[in-house]
Amino acid sequence: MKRNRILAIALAALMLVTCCGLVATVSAEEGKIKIYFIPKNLGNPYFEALSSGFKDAIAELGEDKYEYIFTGPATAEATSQIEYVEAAVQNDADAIFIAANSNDALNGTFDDARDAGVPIYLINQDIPGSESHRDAAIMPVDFSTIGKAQIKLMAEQIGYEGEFAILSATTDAPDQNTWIELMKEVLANDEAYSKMTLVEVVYGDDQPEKSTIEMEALITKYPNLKGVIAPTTVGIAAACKVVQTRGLAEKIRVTGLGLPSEMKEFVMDGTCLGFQLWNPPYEGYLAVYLATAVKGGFKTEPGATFSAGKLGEYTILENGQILSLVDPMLYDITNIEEYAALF
Amino acid sequence: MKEARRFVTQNVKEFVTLAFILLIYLVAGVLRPEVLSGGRMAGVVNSVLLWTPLNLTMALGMMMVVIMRGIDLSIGSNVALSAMVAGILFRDHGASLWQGIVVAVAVGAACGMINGFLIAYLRIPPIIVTLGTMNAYRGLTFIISQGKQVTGYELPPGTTDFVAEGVRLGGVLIPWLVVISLLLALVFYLILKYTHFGREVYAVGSNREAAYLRGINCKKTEFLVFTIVGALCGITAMMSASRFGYINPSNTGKGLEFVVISATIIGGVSVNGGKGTVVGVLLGCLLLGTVNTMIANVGIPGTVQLFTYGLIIVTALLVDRIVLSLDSKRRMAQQVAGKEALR
Repeated sequence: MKRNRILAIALAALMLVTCCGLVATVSAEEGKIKIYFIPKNLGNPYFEALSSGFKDAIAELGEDKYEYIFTGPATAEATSQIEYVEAAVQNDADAIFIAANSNDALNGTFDDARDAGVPIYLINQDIPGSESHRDAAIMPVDFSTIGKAQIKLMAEQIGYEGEFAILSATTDAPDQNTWIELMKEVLANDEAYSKMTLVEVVYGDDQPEKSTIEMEALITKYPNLKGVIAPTTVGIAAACKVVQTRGLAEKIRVTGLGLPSEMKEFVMDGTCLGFQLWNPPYEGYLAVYLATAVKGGFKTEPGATFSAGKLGEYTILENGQILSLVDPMLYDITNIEEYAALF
Repeated sequence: MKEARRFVTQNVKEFVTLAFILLIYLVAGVLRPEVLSGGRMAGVVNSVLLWTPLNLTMALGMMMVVIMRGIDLSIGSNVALSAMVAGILFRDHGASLWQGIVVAVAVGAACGMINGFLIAYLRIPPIIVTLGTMNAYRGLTFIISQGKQVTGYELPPGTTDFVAEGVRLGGVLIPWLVVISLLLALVFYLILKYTHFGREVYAVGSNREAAYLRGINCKKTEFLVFTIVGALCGITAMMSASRFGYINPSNTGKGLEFVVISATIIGGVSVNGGKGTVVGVLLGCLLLGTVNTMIANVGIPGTVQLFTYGLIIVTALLVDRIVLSLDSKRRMAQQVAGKEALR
C-alpha cells in the first residue's frame, strides 16, 4: 500500500515536469516575408551559428520587413521534422529552409508544402536521390575541394615533405571516405607533394577514447611522423590534446576540419597552426537574400544568378545547389576568437 | 614451493587473466616485433596506463552492482551529467578545480541515489531503471549545456596536469590519474574485504533471502551501492575532463557502460552474483586496455578492429571458463580421493 502511494507521488511529479516542458508560443504578422529555418535539432550550437547568419542579413535588409522563425525538434530524428514543416505551411511561410534529418523521409511533406506554394530549400546539405522534392539546396562548401585543400594546408605546415597520417571518423563515414580518396589522388598526381608520404589512415570512430588511443599509437608507430590530418571534429580535438599533453607541437603538426569553439585553445597556444571548415553564418545570410529574391519574382532555375549583399553574386548550379563557399575557410590565430564565440 | 603452488591454485582466475595479457603482448611482438622495442614500448605502456583509470574507477562500482546481481547502464550518462554541471560552474562561475570535483561527486551521488531508490525501495529491475535514467541523465546534460561543450580553456588551469604529471617509477611515468584510481582500488579492496558493508554486499549477492534472515538490511545495502557508483561517476567525470580536455554533452562518457561491464565480467565478477574481487577487476581493465592499445599499435585495419576486439573478449572468457571447469573437476577429484583415503 505504502509502495503504491510512493509510486503515485513519483508519477504525479513526473507528469508535472513534463507539462512544464510543453510550453509553445505562436505569433503571426501580416505583410512581411516569413522565413522559417528548421535545423536538424534545437540546442545545437552549429545551427545557432547558422541562424546568426539569418539574423545578420535581416538586420541589414530591415528588421521590419521580415519575420524569422527558428524552430525545430529536440532530437535529430528523421520524422520529427514533419510537423514543423506542416506548421510552417499552415502559418503561410514564404520560404522554408531545412537541414533535413533524412534523405527521403520528408519527401511527401515537401511535396505537400510545394503544392501549397511554399518553396522548400535544403540548407547546409542536400538530399541526394530526392532532389526533385526541393527547390534548391544551399551547400556549406564545394565538398570536392576539401581533399585538395586539406593536403595543401598540411603541406604548408610541414614544409612539403615528410611522413603524415590521417585520423578519420568511422570506417564507413561517407564524407570522410570521399575526402580521403581525393587526398590520395592529389598526393599521387601532384608533383608538389612528391616528398610527402601518407603512412596510414586510422579511424577514431568519432569517439574521444578511440581517437586518443589511435593518435597515441600513431606517434608510437611512426617516430618520424610530421603531421596528422583529422577531417572530423572529434578526431582533430583528440589529436591536438595528445600533442599538447606530450609537448610535441613543434614536431607533429595537426590539422583537419574542426569547430572554432572547440579548437580555440589549441590555436591560441600554438598546438594547431590552422584548420579548415566552412562558414555556417554565410549560409543563413545567403538564405535570406535567396528568399527575398524569390519573393520578388526570382526563379530558382539552373544558371540563374542572384545577389547576396556583401557576399556577392551566387549562381544556381545544374543540380540545384548553391555553394556558399568554393574552398573551405581557414581558421587560425587571426580569426579564431571571432568565430569561436559563434560556433 | 608448495605454498606458491597453493597461491596459484587459489587464484586461478586472476592468473589466467594475467597470462592472457602476456599472451597479447607476445602475439603483438610476433606480428610486429618493433612494438616491443625500447622506445615504442614506453609509448604502449603509457597508452595502457592512461586507458585504465576511468574504466577502473567505474569498474570498482560496477563490480559491486554485479556482485549484487544488478547492472547499471546509466554510468556513462551520469559521468556526462556530473562533468557538465562541474564544467558549467568552471566556465560561468569561475569555480576552482576542487570545488568542481566536490560538485561532480555530489551530482553523481545524487543520480546514483535516484537509481538506488527506484531499484531498492520500489523494486524495479535495475536494467529497466538504469535504461531509463541512462536516457534521462544524458538528456538532462543536453538541456543544461544547451548542446554546447565546455572547452579546454574554460576548465580551471591544471586540470590536465593529472595526465601529464605523476610519479616516476624507474623511468616510467605513472600519471596522477592512474595513481588515484589505484588508490581507489585499494580502498575498495579493504572495504569489500574487511568491513561489514563489504561483507553484506557479497552476502546479499549470493543469497538475498539468507542475508535478510541474518538481519542484513538488503534494501539499504543496495541503495548504498548505487549511491557509491554514482559518486564514482563524479570522480570519473573529472578524470574524463582531465584526460580529454573538454566536456561534451554527447561524447563524454559515451559507451562507457559497455566497456566497464566487459572489464568487470572479464575480471571474473560473476553475473550470478556473490563473486568478484578487486584484483580480478583491475586485471580485467588492464586486459581490455592492452587489447585496445595493441589493436591500434599493431596497426590492424580499421574495418577489422571491432571484430578483433570482440573475438579477443570472447576468447578470454572462453579460456577462463575452460580453466575454471578443469580446476573444479580437479578439486572434486581431490576431495573424492581424500574421502576414499579416509575410509
